[in-house]
Amino acid sequence: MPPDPPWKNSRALPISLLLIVLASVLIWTLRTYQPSTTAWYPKCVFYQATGFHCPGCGGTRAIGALAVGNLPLAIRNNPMLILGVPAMLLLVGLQRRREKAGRLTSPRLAWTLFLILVLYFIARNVPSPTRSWLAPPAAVKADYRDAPFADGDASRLD
Amino acid sequence: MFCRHCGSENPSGATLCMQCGKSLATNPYQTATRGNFGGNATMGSKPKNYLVESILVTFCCCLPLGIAGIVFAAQVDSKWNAGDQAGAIESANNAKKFTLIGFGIGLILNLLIFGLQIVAVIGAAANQGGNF
Repeated sequence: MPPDPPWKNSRALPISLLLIVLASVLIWTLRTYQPSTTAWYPKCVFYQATGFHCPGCGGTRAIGALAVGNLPLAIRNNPMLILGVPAMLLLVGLQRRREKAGRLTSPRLAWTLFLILVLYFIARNVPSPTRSWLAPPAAVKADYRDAPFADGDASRLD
Repeated sequence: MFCRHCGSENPSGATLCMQCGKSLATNPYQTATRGNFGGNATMGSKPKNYLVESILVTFCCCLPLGIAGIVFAAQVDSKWNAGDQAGAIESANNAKKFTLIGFGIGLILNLLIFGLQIVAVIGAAANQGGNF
């Protein structure tokens, strides 16, 4: 007997509908109010408390840039979130698949991801949080919808 | 498994031959598969290590707790591969704990700051002429 298709699962349909609605609301909000020019978006607690960029800093601006189709700016804001996290999720998913198939898996993947994130965390604040190449660029006041890059603006809103 | 010395059959997992009394685990490859990795087959499946959740907490909640969660997730894999079932379960519980605490603290702090920022924006608008 074949397994039930996903829509037979009573919870799958409402959950996917909810996720689609939430994602649509999020994308609409990010497109309408660009995070780099809007004050009320939640700011990184770690950055506000310490002045150092965490691995997720610039994430809202990155997703916001992605929502308006500006991939270079999204990558500039948080390269690890835009490029690294999808790759990490893919690798972990493939490893889980191998484990389910009964194959031996190596602990190397998890330790490598840990090392990459710690190095990224450090690199975003070296030589300083404002001058690091991997830090998100200073927030700009103008609408950057047409600008490929938003760095070069020395004035910081945060 | 069959004894390498006398060839008689023994139950799997036995360490000494029931016929000749010699060690069944002298072959290093056999030790590795039976003693350590082979344990996975008899001990059930690896506990959930919360690696994906830890990575997401690290990025979404801006807290070092997510990184601690990744360390415990990696420990789960390491200990499981070394045959340390109890240690793997302990690390899995720690990974779950740190990920959940990180998610909770991150959510509360972010909502708090979000609320404060809304208040600040409304206050600023009210100060600039009160046409909010």
